[in-house]
Amino acid sequence: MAPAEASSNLARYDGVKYGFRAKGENLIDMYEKTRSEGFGAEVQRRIMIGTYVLSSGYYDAYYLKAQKVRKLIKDDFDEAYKKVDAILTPSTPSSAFKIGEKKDDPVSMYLNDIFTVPVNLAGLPGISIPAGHDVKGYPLGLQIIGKAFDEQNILNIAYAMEEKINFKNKITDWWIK
Amino acid sequence: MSKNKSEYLINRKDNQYEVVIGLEVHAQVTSESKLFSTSATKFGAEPNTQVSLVDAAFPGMLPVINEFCVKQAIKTGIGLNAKINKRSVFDRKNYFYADLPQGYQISQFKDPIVGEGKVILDMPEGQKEVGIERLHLEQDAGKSIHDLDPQNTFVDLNRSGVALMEIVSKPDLRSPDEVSAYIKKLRSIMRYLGTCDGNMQEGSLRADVNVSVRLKDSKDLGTRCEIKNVNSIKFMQMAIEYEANRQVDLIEEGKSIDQETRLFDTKKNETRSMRSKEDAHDYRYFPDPDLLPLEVSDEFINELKTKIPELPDEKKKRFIDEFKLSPYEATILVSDIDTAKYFEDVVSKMGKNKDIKLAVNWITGELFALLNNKNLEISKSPISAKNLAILINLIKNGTISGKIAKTVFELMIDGDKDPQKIVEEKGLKQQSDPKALEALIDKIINDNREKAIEYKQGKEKLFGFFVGQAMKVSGGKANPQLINEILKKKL
Repeated sequence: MAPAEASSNLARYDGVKYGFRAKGENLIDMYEKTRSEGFGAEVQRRIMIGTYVLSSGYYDAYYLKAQKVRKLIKDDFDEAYKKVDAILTPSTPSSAFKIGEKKDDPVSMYLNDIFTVPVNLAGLPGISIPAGHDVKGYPLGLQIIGKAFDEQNILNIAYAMEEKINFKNKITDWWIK
Repeated sequence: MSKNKSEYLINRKDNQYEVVIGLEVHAQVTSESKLFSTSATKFGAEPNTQVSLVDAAFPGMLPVINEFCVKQAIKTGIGLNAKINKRSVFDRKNYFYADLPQGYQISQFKDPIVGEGKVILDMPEGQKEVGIERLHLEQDAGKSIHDLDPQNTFVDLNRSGVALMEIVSKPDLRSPDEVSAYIKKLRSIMRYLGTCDGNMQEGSLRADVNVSVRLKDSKDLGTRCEIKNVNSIKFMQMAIEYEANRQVDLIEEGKSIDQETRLFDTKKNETRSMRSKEDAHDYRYFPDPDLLPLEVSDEFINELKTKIPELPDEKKKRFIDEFKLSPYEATILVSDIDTAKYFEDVVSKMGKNKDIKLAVNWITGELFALLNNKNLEISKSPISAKNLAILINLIKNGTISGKIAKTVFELMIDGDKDPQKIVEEKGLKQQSDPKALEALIDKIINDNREKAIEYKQGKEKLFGFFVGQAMKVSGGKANPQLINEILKKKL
């Protein structure tokens, strides 16, 4: 569902009105060059996946099925919220990987979003705060997921946790490593 | 369908073909602002002056539904005797074009706001019911302008995001005349409701026409072709005529018809293939994640029902019952809301002792001819309903004759003058004093002795001569009824 929406959301970056535009022989050629040159590999991959799952003949197998799964995810959260006020998870399964490290294995890269995507699918508010370090000293985050429209509650929890955790960044040059 | 002589069939050597037509009408919603943004919708503004960040699809801009447009669509649905869907869903129709900034059109695909309905057509051979399949709300695209520069196409986004109602008919239409009547009826209903101004020249009403043919008495539908965006009723009729004959010729030659989209070339009077089914866009419809399903309550719908004015069909019925008009007269007077208003205005201004028949004749006769001549809408009539009512009353109460009234009518045009004043100033009042008229007639008979004798001997045609003389001598002012009576007595 996320790539389906992304493929449509990104359609507006077509070089016509604003942003990057490549020269083309005609309108279609301009579109193709602009979007091939302007979008990176991962964005293009997601646009293609999204376009594919919405295509006629595949819609039912993918998009419609995904909608049903989303409903199940939403029901699961609703069930959990009968017992708790908020849910605490890691923000990601591991600390940040290096730029280009998972270039050849996009699926393992997508798995990094495993804790955050369900929150979006279920339409719930979530907040991620820095919480600790892994063995390499890279920062790790914690995510607090709230009930629908219960932003105030998770902001309160996040604030209280932030005070107690008192996170100190150990990496000062992470962007060049 | 009735088997009568007005049935539209295409004849070939051994076969008769019936034409099956369905219409997708795009009607621009009458509203101050656009479907999902606050920009103005006025026609004819300077290019790109009515464009918000939403209409130009800037990053992060989100659509907000315009409640007024939703009401307009529901009102139209009620006017089409259609089922209003309490829950409808906005979908994205994805395609790339320079005048479509978002890269998708927000429309309604699976769950439209209005479901099945029907409209009644008044055809010369009687009434005909045409089914409505659905009505949905959608955004209009901008306008690409190709003829301002040899190399470049310009884009005007003023229209981008304006609300449209797409009204889809069932394949119930069988002739170009029925198509014309259907479009006119839709336009009439929407103009009564104030939901679309129906102006085809300004593009407020456009239609895609689906045409197929089949052997007469066949029950199966043939392969259809869609003719895109034909923007006048006349062109629509010409396109159908051409397209139906083209399809019949293909069948007669033993060839098959390709399902395709075609364009009508108004200069060559022919349709041309635009794209085949294989090249058809895959629009990848899916529910717009930026918009929640649209839910309306029973109260919301019922409240709108109370605001529906008297529509053409009911008005026609009332005109026939209340004013004793013929169905034909009533149809003419109700077909356009402004004409109906004008007529009712005249009737109410005529007061108690009114001659409605006379009013109908003057409106559909002299007034229509005048408006036609000056190429004016009745709402811009140079003669007001009030003054026309006064004129008709002057005829009715014998102050002036019908003939003099025509002269007065001509004098009223410039500046919408009061006919009463014209009659007084020009001394056009009818001569109805019997004594004066008798003297006048005595003189005429005296001056034309021989003719009077011929008349008495049986040359009855000469009666007209004496009437003519009396009118001439009186300067057209003599009361023709009295002249007749007196002449009969004296001759």
